[in-house]
Amino acid sequence: MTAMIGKKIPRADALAKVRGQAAYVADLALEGSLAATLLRSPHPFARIKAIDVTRAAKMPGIAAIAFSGNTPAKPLDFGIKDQHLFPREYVRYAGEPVAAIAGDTIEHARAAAAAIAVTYEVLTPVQSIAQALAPHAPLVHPDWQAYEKGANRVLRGNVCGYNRIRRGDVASAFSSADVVVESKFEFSPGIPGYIEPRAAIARREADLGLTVWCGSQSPYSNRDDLAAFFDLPQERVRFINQFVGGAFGGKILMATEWYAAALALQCDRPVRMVWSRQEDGQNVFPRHGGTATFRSGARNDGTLLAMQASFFFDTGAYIGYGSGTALIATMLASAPYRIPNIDLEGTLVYTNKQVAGPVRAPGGPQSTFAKELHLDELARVLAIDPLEFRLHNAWEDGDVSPTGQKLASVSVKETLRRAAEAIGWHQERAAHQGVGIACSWWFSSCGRSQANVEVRADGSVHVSSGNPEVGTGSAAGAIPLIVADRLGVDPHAIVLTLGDTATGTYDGGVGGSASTFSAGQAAKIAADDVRDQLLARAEEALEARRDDIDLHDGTASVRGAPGHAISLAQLASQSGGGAISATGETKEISEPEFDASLVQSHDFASWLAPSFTTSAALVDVDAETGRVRVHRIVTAQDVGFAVNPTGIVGQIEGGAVQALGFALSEELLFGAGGIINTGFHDYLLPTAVDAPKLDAIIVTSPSSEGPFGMKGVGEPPVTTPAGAIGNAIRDAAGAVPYTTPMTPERVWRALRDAAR
Amino acid sequence: MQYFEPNFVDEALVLLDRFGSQARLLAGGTRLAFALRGDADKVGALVNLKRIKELSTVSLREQTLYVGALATAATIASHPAVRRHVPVLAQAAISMGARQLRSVATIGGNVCSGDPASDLCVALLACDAQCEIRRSSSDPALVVPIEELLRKGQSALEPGSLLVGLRIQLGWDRCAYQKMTTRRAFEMSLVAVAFCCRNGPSLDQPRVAIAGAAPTIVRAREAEKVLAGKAFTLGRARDAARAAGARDAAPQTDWRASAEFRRQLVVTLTERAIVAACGER
Amino acid sequence: MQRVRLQVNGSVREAMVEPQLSLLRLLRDELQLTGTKEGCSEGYCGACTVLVDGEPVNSCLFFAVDADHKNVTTVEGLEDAQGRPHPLQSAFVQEGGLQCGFCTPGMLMSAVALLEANPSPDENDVRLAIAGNICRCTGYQAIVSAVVAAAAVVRKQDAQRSARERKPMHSRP
Repeated sequence: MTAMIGKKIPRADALAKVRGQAAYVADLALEGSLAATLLRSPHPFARIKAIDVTRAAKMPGIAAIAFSGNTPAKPLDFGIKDQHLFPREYVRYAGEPVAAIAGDTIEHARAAAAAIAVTYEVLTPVQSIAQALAPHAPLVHPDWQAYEKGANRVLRGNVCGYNRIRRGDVASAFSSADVVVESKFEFSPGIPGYIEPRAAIARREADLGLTVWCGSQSPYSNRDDLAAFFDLPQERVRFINQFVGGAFGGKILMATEWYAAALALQCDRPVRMVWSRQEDGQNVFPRHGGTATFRSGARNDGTLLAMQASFFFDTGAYIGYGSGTALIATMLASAPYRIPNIDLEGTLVYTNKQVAGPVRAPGGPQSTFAKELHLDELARVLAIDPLEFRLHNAWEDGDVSPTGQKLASVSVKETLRRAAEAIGWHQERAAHQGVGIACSWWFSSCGRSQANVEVRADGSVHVSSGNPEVGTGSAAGAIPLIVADRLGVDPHAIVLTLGDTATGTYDGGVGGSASTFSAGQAAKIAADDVRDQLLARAEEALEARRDDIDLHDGTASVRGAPGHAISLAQLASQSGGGAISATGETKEISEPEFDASLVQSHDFASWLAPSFTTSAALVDVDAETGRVRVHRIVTAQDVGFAVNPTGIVGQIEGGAVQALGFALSEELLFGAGGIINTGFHDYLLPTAVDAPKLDAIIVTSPSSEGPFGMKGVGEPPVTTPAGAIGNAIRDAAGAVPYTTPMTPERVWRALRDAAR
Repeated sequence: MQYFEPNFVDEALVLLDRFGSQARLLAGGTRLAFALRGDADKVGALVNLKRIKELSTVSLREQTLYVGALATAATIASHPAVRRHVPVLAQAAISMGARQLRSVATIGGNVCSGDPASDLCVALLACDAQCEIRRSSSDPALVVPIEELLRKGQSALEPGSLLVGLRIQLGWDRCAYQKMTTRRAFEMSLVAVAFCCRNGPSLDQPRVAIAGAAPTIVRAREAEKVLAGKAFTLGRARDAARAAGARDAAPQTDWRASAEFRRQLVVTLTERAIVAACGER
Repeated sequence: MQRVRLQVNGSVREAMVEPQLSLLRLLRDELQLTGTKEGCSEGYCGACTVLVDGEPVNSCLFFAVDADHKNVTTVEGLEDAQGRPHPLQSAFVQEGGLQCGFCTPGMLMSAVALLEANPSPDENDVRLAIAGNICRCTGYQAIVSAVVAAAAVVRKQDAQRSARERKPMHSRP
């Protein structure tokens, strides 16, 4: 059966991409397009007294202006209805778009933008978590009490999210512990770092129609939201997804799509909005910055008795898609360790900054960094080897999650052992070298997804899936592999159509470690159906039993009698419609059971098909400059079943270097006028010289829910390496800063302070 | 915006005279490309210097290395005469940006930009480079020590003048460049130090140049005093480095690094530069 | 407006350009060669890398007027006359040296320049050569493997070509 699954084969879209023929949104040129720009708020916090577009509207070459005055007043709904398409009464972050303008050329549009008169009453902004929570703090949302919100949402002043997981009695457990350690951490915000700036083209169509060319992670939900907002019939709105130049959670919520659409609905020409890097930087959805305090108690033999953790995350001006970070952070805080008494809480706070978003593994790197450095500190106080300490406390099959979910297919210890062995945990090292380890768990997601598989009379196999290809390879890698495996055809012969909402194969989008799990499942269901139909026809044609028939190389043949065969093309042409096809849809998977009494305001307390990951790092520390050189990162990740090994290794290696950036150099900085470093010269992404040797160890401990037994792949790789690097720094140099990024200056200070 | 491609320095000077502050000189263009995006309509003339072949030459003349103002960082990094005679300049050049930037960025553009983190300028200061400046077709070239230009920053050149080349005396065999950044490549320095001294049994005319510890790139003269005329020892290198940090550096805190850390980097990088240049190989 | 006349991927192209127009805009907008990408507009990501007379440059900062009478090579010019991919392109495909593909055209051009200058690069040489090409997806390791693998293929092809060229005429069939 598994002829194709598990094979390392090149991606279906690779050749087009290396030829420069893969089209991203900015590569499209629709004739007669208008160029669009935005007028953005210069103030982090201000009341809008008036917006006057009359002079701008009359300027040469201007086709449309969109702003609060001429777009629907309904709020956007992200669980808390705290945001409008364009700000109506307040601007809440420097860079917030106040109006969109479309003109014959970008110069015309910019000139008109400069002519829009906005009268602001500047207000004192809230610029940090501490400021937001101080008594008498200015309110980012003065009218918060009037906001509609979901039942499980917490909203009180500047607090827009809160959750708690509690079990046992931490207070008495602490008093009976032999050792108690407390650590405080701080995380800087960062950016997803996709290289392709956001862009969209929108064109109004007849009969309340709209076409949007975009580069989105979730074109179907985008389509649904846009249609609902502008009161357009859903079937008249079409999102055509192009290739996406990286997303990492930053292209789930619409941005350029909203503005291009709002303008296009006012005129008759296509509207093209392509952001520069600097513009994208002003309207990015950053990874949450924030703080964490951890307190743990253990026995002298290393057994963990209790853990208390408290997270505060700076979620920016609106809730957007930011709530998951605090939910996930608490689910990670005590995992994957057996701790009978826990009290974990996460708080989201409004500030006058960009809206934080679900950047790859939201809350993951932050929570795991803090927890793993904290536990290493505890292990050192106990004089227990950090690896042994983890093995002593790590989950096994039958243990329960922090929220009482029974755990199966638990592979933590295997990932720990294999990562430790690969990094050479017990080897001798030079004086300023060190190794560190960190482990975690993660969830899989099964979103709603549909796929269509069709074998045609010419023998070609057409597959359409709503899953967008943003680079991860869930679509261009896994789907052809799965279909090819089920039908016995060459994956490269499959014609793949992705992400065009007009083809009707719904998909919930890329993100949340869901894609191969969901879209792959849908493709498998469709392919299995087609396989069934082919075998049924082959039985007749070959007068053999189905069990004796193999599908391979585009044919159906009787085992043991290779000449007795018929091609899939013939089977298809003999069928009624001249083709054999089927549509597959993911089935609803019931959430695992958990103990609801352990949680407060937590709607992500049950994790489907959990996976386990351990990273280990080998580093060198230059104490005089604080410069850390990472020589190697090893990540052992349990993927359940490796459907697409090339894709998996790619995700692990890519995630390791993103985590390296989080750990050592990436930091979004805010000044009085907003983000300081909106460009790539001063936001430091890792280069090829920074990136170390990477080892991806694929562990397979199958899940009962995922197709072929797989577990979600895309996010875990970025959760663990930063903790491993931090622990390695301490191993090498004796101390480590409890702040990310661990820049040379922070490392230098930590070493200097420890020496005193 | 008018566009000109003069073939000779004199032609360029005439254009500069004619257009005054409305003229922009196009050398490598990496900074200009960005600057013109907003202000194109304020520019009367774009004067592309690259047809003036003499400006790109790198040559040895008697005891001097001559580097034309339009020599690119890539050329400087790989030129045999530079690597042999003024290696610190090649080291600084290879540490700049990335390959794509080095292909295009010119030494003249660096000197005239007033960039307080220019790698090439730190090296040039350490080897006492002299700047050859032309002002009009009738006057001979003016020769100005680089220190003077760097002290004044971007307004160093008087309007209507053109930097045509750098002259560096040979004999700075013992030299080294140390650059500190947050990531390991492709970044402007937080602090950088270039050390040069002339051949001889003792440290003859030691020169220490520092970026990132003052508003402009400066000589660390206190450090130099510690070394001058003495033999190299590790202890002396450390003392000189401490002097550089304590007395030559006047760093400021900015969002990239604190003054205290910059001062520490001055000490470490100065010591390492001296040891790299003079220590046992 | 200035007239520029340049070779792009072996063909002569002409255009009238404003003096401040970038080579990137000339390639993408005037010549419809959209393979070269715009990632940051400030020379700090390398997605726009092209070769000008064999030298890698950030086309977002390169003036189109400076390309006059020069040879420009973009990703579209890497395949041979029969449309067969360059060994680097094949190696990137085989080794998994790309995911989203946005940095890939620029990355390939930097790699081409490297192999011209150094036919036998080690991993470190490759990393230094592509230091100015930021990739956010792959973590670089697969890219480095691809370039090293392609270098071996190119060396072999060059050796075979040289051997053929050295054969005296009378011994050819």
